[in-house]
Amino acid sequence: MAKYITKRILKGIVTFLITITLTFFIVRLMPADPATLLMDPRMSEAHRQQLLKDFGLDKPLIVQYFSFLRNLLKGDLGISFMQKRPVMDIIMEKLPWTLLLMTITQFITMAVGIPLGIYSGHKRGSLFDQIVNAVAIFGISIFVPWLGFTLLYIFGYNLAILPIGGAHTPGIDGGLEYFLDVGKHLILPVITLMSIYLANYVLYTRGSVIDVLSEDYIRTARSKGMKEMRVLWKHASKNAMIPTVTTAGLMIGRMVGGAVLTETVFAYPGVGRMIYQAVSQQDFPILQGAFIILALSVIIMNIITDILCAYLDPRIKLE
Amino acid sequence: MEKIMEVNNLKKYFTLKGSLFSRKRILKAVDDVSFELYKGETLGLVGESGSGKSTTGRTILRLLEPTYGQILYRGKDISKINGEELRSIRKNMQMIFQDPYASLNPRMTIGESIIEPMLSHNLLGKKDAEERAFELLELVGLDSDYYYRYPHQFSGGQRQRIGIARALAMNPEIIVADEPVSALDVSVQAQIINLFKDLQEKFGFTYVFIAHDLSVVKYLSNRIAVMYLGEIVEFSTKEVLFNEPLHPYTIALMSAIPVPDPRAKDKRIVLDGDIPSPVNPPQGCRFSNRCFRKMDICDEVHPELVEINGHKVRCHLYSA
Repeated sequence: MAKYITKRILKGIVTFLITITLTFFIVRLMPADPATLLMDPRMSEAHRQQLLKDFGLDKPLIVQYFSFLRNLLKGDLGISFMQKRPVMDIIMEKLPWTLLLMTITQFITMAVGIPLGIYSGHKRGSLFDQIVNAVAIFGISIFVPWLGFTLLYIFGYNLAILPIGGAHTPGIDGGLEYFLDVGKHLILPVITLMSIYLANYVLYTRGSVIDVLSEDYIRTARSKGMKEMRVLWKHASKNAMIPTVTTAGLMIGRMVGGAVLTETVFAYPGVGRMIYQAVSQQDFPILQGAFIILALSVIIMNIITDILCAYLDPRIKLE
Repeated sequence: MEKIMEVNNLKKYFTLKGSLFSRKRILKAVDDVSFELYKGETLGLVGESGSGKSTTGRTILRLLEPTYGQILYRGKDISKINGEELRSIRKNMQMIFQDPYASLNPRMTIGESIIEPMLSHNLLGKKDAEERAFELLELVGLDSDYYYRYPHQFSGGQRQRIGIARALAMNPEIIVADEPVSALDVSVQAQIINLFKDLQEKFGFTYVFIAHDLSVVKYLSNRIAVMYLGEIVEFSTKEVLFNEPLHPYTIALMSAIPVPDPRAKDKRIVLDGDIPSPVNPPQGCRFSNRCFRKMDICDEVHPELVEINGHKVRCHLYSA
């Protein structure tokens, strides 16, 4: 097991190195010149050269690449063009909000979606199954900004019982009041995000339960005289969890990237909205930083998923 | 001999869902099969793929719902019982499956698979169940340490031994073995067949042994039913059946058994064509389109199973 984990982590490091290299060069390939974006057009050419030199942009690309790596090692992701602040600081401000939103969403979605998928697969073709399927497909097909704005219109504007944006009300800080306030701000974004994620869990779990239920060992369990519920929960569900765990790993890995559309609609101060703003302002250091954090998180989650799958399925060789 | 099971006019039909362009169709997998099972005997069920032998085996254990007919276990009709009543009867009847790997839960250790039914039927406590699992593993010729291993760590023959140990766990009266050796190497087949025989001598199990390999069935069975397209076409004791097979289908099957003598004259009867679809069986005798002794009547009239000195056969050659 230890050998398997070490190997998996080494692979992860290689993947990460490749990813940051690609990120570095892709950002450099973009048509805009950072110096032009950074400085006032009224500045002189000498100033421009000075600026390029300050940022190390006058050196050959390969030298820039290695200093980029060196800074990265120190946790330095560069400085935002627009906000003139370290990218790391900006990301660290946004990340907790995104993680809060996404963790709650994922948790509720899994708690609802997995049992729903298992039961649906068990009762395949029944009315219950058909309704669950229809709702899941509807949820995944719906246009997120439309759903977001509709919810905002109903609950934020018409009924005026929920806030229309942000993550908390300025002025309220500390105590139960703050806690409830943050909770209130989460309700609509969570519902919106759930509509996208729920179908993933329900449909993957359902499909995999249907597959597993036709396996020979399920017939064996029935022939042993096991109760149907035990067959379903003990024999089928555990074996059916592997695709679900893989899907969950991927989705959780992408969590730090936030939800660009949802966060933007609800003016939620998370990573997704930051990315949206960075794109519209051509703030490359922020984008680059966000990509790297995202890649790191996806890679780490993949390692965890692989280890979890090896635990779930003893047939996966621990070599 | 004590009769422990009686199957009367058993039918198992599957409904094939109609697609956009076709109507619903009925697949008659088992059509009017009757037999009795006596304590301590081995009943062989032989036939090609699609003859309904596996379906018969599964239906009498109620792993499939019978469409029609009676299954009397010790005088009690178990064809319609459900729920708790069915679960409690299951411990008396166990099945050994063709694919020993696929039929073991990959996430459970061998031991967990074996003790699960003992615990769930409250036959034994955890400690005693474990003890019994160790004994069972040794009984089927495995090391008791295998208790802690997973199915993927074993070879085919070992897995089938595990499958047997699992089936024996609840000390069943009837064991239905559904092609238990056809997935194994020939050398391993012999070991497993001998294991079946030893266990029967020791514990007096009653076997229903399903196979398409006649030599395997010959070695183990006391009585043999030959099935074709969901029907029993010939039914007799092993000796009678092998010495004077009556049905042309049985005769053809017998001629296909390889003889371990290179100089033996090959008198194999080769049947033309494949077994017809059980969705649309031939009108008269179901074997008529492949029979080498076909008469005019065979196309028109479906032959009945007739008995000649205890030897049952379904063929117009013998109905007069």
